[in-house]
Amino acid sequence: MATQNPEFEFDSAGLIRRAQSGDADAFSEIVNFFRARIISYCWKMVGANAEDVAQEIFVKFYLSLDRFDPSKPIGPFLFRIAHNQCVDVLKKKRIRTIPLLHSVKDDEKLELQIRDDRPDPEASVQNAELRQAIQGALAKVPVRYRSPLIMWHVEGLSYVEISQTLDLPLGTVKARIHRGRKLMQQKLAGFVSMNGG
Amino acid sequence: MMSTCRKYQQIMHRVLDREASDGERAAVDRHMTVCPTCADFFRSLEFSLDLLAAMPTPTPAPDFTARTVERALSAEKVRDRRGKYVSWCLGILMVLMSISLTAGWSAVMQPVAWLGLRGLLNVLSKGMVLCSVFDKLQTILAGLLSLMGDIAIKVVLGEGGPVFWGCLVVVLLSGFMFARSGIRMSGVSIKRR
Repeated sequence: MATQNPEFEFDSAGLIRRAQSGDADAFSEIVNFFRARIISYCWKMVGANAEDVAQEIFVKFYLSLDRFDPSKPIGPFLFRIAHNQCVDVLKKKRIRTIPLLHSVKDDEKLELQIRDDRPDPEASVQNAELRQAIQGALAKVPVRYRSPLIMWHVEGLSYVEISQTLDLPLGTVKARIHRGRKLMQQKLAGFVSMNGG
Repeated sequence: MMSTCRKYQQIMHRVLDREASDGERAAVDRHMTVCPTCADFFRSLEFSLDLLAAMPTPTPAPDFTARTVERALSAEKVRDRRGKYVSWCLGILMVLMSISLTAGWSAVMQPVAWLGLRGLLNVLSKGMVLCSVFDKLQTILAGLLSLMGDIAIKVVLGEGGPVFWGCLVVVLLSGFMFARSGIRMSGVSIKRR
């Protein structure tokens, strides 16, 4: 399930106004607040070099600050840039499958995002083989399904926010997420049955 | 697969969307107790999504924010510098386009405009006391128009013509390239992908 949107506790309007008037500290606060989510999204979308892609996304966000309406939430705007950037990267590199764990040198660098206590998924992903299978499965899901699937199930964006982010009708967003779920289920079928799902 | 199962599998998606009512949830639960296929389907769907959510992500480097801010500030400087080039190029382009338009206009319209203005001044000067002033003004304006027309014809259609048009094409192309790079640098694509 999607996590709670933490942006409600974040004074985005004030920070945006300060950043628009050239306050680098305000921009740095925005980066601090969103960096984990953006890197996580990029990691799931393009795999290796997620941090470089995320940095590019924040730079583009900074350069477009003057056109941004402070009364609107930052999340959908930032994720729109992130989506477009990831699509560009995938197009340029023509990535068909995600390079597995190339940018992570050891397991100490990995951080688990645990969300609930059902069939113990976090214990399962400790298994490197399964971890690779998840990434491989995700890489095989076409980008048009992968992106909304990650936004909803991992990053906690609402349907309305995803709809605004991807500029798609609400019905299309739901249909794509449903399709993405089914594809993930199909790709992981063997591992899910082995791990008690 | 039975059509009833298909119906319940649709509701399962609504459950995952957190849009199912309590009644729908209860109906799905009841159905799963009697249909192991649907129970397996739901469990595997839920578990694959849990795996997706539990996927490890790299921890941002400690200096990620500092590096990003630094890069953003330098990118802004580059954009501003590029913006200056673009505005200069666009300015030059505008001047050249104005010259070419004036020249073209003068070459074609000068005789017509000259005749029209001369006629107007004639009409005005006949009915006015300050005839001599208008006569002089008429002469000066006619001379100016004629001079402009002659220069324009020489520049555009005369010996300097090919050089002038060549320069104009080069400036137009470079202006377009600068503007394009400026827009790419500063803009965020918001089109649907």
